Amino acid sequence: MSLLSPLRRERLDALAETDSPYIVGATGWPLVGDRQLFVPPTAKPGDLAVILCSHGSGAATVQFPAGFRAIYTASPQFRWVAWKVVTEEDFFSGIEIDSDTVGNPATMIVVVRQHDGVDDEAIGLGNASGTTMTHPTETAGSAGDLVLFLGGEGGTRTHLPATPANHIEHYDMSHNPSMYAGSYESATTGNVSGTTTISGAATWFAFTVPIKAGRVRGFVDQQFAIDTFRNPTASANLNTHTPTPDELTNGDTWTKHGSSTCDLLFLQPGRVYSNGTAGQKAFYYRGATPPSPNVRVHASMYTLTDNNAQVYGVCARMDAGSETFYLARHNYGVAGNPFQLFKAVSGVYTQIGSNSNTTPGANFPLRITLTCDDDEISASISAGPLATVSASGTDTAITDAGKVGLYSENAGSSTVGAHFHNFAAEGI
Amino acid sequence: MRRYFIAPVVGTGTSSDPYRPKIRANELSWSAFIPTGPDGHPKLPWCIAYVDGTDLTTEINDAQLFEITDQLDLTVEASLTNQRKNALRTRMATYGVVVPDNTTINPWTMRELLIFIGQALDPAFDPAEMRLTVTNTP
Repeated sequence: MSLLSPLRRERLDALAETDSPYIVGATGWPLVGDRQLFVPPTAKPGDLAVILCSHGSGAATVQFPAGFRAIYTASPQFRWVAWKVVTEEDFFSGIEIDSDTVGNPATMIVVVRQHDGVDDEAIGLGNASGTTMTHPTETAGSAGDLVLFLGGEGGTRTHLPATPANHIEHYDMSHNPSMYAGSYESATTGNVSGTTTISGAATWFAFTVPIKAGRVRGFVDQQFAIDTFRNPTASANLNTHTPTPDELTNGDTWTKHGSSTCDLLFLQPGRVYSNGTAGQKAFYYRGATPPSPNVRVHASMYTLTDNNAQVYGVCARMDAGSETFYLARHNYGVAGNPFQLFKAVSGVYTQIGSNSNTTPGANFPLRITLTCDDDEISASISAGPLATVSASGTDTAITDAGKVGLYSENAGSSTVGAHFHNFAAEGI
Repeated sequence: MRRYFIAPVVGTGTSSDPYRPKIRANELSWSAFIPTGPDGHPKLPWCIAYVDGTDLTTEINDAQLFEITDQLDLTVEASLTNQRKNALRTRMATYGVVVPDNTTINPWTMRELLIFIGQALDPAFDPAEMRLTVTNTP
């Protein structure tokens, strides 16, 4: 096991002194039928996670599983629910959107970094419709409370809301219906009137987290690379994007590996896809050097109906100058769609593990995790409640810390293959 | 069922045809110990695989593979007939590994035998680190 470097500890302490609550991750994907949705890998136990669901502007319903409170419903039909994240592998299962009658379904998860005293049972809520977002009486709280606002438009997004001057984070999921999330600290006691202007059929929600500007606990573990894939330029290459959330990434960026023969591109916030053709590969790595060779790398993704024989996964101990790394990948390119563990040294590939029990079908969210702990190399894939599988082996071929990153092989596009939702890596 | 296999390494080292043990690689769950050199190629033409599958008949009947029980606490004497020990000795001789005589190996546990063979591949070999986990929730 590794220890925190002195430099790393200093950074953790500095962040821990921050007294502004903030959102740490958001991701979204349309859901139709009974589906599972993972929390972003940036979420940690104790965080508050909020799901916002919509099916568009029709008359269908959004179902939540038993035991979860569907907090609010409006037309266009949105519902949201909040819960405390229990484990890093949490997923929200059982959401069902009856039909997609008008527009398309959309789902978004927002995670609020843990604070002392957060109580999801004491959350106030409210809504407002129209051109000005005004927090209704249910959101009355105290000065310094965190106000989280969620919103959406029934049609294609026409305006982003103007956030209050002291806003902390702002998220945009450009889908149909589109969704937004932001937060700020309330400056007053009681109702708060915002200045946000929106257009089109829209419904806004707002609620307060009943805490004072609390002490943020800062990072847990040694998370050194994060990206929730927000705020991209449309169709932009991943290596032109500034990873988000900004306050956790220190300006660290993505680099396209020289062995790549295709690109990873943004479709929209929270969706990164490969434009490769058969036999082409894309490797992208983060600039940050891991605190040690012992790392855990995660990515959440979604498999589309037409998977197109794509192979995709995450890498660790990646050499920036040669095709050398450990790789955990899900392979739609062969019968059985196995989950596979590889090492590649100077472009020579050796498979050191496989699990044939994975096979999450099309239209599923899943998460791949690769762990390198000294000579123990292991990987797991989780697809909601369907299967958690892992493969592991002993290997000493690659011992340098290297880089961490994403991998894709074979044909992909904006409409086929698997799309990445988010990425995170931490020291262990 | 789970078994260890001493297996030839097959493949050409590409992403679509990687070096791997000679088993049904896409139909089974497995973990393999395949040491490689600085050039990425396997140091030796054989490896050890830990394999999980409902039916391993294909692998067990493959004359190029040698099956080893996953009951590693059993003694060699209790696990392998003399004929099987001779078969192991013959198989390993093709790889240049001399397996000691029966008097020596009979008291060993199967774990000790597996470690003896694995460390001929690389001194780092430890069967405890070859793990498979499969959790399916309806």
